[in-house]
Amino acid sequence: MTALMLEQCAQTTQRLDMAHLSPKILGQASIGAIQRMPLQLGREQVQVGEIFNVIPTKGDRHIIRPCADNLDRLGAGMDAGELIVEGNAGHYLGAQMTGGRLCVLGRAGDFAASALSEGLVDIEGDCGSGLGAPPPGHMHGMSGGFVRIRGNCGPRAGERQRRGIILLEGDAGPEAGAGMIAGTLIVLGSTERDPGREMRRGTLLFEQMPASLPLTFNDNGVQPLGFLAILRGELERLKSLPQSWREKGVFARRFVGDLACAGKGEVLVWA
Amino acid sequence: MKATRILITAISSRWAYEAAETMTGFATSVIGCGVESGIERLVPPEETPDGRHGVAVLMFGISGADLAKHLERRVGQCVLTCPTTAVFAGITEGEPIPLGQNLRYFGDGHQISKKIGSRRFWRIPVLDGEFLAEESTGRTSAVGGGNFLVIGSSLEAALQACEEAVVAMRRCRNVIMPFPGGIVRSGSKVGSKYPKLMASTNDAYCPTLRGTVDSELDTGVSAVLEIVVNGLTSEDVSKAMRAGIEAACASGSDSGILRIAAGNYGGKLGQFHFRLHEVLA
Repeated sequence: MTALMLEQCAQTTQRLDMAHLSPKILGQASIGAIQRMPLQLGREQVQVGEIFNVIPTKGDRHIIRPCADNLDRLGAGMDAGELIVEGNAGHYLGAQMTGGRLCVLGRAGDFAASALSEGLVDIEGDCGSGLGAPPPGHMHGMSGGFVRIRGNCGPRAGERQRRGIILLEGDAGPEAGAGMIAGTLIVLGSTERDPGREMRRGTLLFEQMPASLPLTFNDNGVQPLGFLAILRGELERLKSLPQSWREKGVFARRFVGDLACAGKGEVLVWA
Repeated sequence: MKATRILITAISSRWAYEAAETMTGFATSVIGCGVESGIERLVPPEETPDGRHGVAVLMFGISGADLAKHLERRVGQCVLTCPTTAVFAGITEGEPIPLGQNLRYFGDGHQISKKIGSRRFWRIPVLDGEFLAEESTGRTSAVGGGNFLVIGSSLEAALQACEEAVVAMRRCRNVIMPFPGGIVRSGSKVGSKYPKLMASTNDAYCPTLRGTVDSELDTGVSAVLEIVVNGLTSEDVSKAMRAGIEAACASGSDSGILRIAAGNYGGKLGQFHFRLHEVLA
């Protein structure tokens, strides 16, 4: 299979909507057809060929090389295949993805992996606010799949997350897991104030005690939790097991909440 | 027959085994016990989902509904109750049958669902922490009632040969020998002079009935013991039977084993027939 590389050759001051250029489209259309495809640039439409050089490459991974971070909705809605972003991504990276693999070698903007339902998103750098959160008008955030952020993340990561795993290797901003419905958010770095605010169910798993917890969480003590071993196995399967976890048992200090809501969520801190 | 496999893990192999042994008790024959069940093998920590010592249990039933009913009862009464245990699916393909799906209600509303990857688990609060149970396990079509008879010049010789056969058969995967120690002394035939009885003593192989009925036994025979084997496929059953017969005969005719036979029940019992000459070919 021949994959394509889209190398940005023209800078734009307006934001560019890249949702059309999914791996499926890149794999099926001819180079000429791709060059003629319309892209939304601010309030105007331009053709792909005006902004990108379209170059065939070996292998089966499509590559996009941005020269700025205003390319929004990269990989949005993709359902299969692999897309590599060799640079920074804009907002709504991988939003509503239903499959495939999306890797960003730089940082990503706000609402990365928004309402992701299946597939894998891997971001080498930092990302903005609302990681995995619901897009405007939606009830639920991420509902499946796996997201790995190797850098830090802004406020409200995992907001209204319903299923799936987010692994945040850096620090989390305030109110991580706010309104969480279910699923798992793991933070290996530090966590700012009020994680889990208004969470109904789900698991927030931290290496370090967060700066503060909402007052509506109760300390449940240190507990042996067998599912942590299953979670560790799943991260190993995803080739994302943190080195520090290899020696860990299944004991975690557990805080239950948010008692202002259903109260079946939990904040765990490795014991 | 329908079959399933579950994997029980615990803090130590002792407790995993305790749970498995308890849940497979009184499960020798579908006729009287509803299901046939046994321990397939010990599973090392590196092969279990939670990295603890495990025991794989196979369970066989006449129908999928029977199997599901007995699995739920036995896991609920024997595994859920056993300290430190967790239970996982041992077969991922096939029709799913409930494992933690109904047991979760024991949590009285405090149970927590956790979906990790494509598998859903139930975390049920119990007095030693949480009982972790996978939502369901897979059900597959299976083969029951593979058997062979060890015919000896003495009871001691027949028992010794059967013990060695069972040791060899337990090394095979996907099979269980559901009777006590893997050995049956009350081999049966289909039917009875009493109309309500589905099975009765296999009179042709009872040494004490020689001369009374149309016996299959020569005068030198003192005891016959049977080994019954259930497996997930007919190949699994054949392989285990072959391993068992070879082990039983390994000591030669001087050990007191006069003959190996098998109950064919006139071809009336089940769709699978294991002819010994084919099994050993």
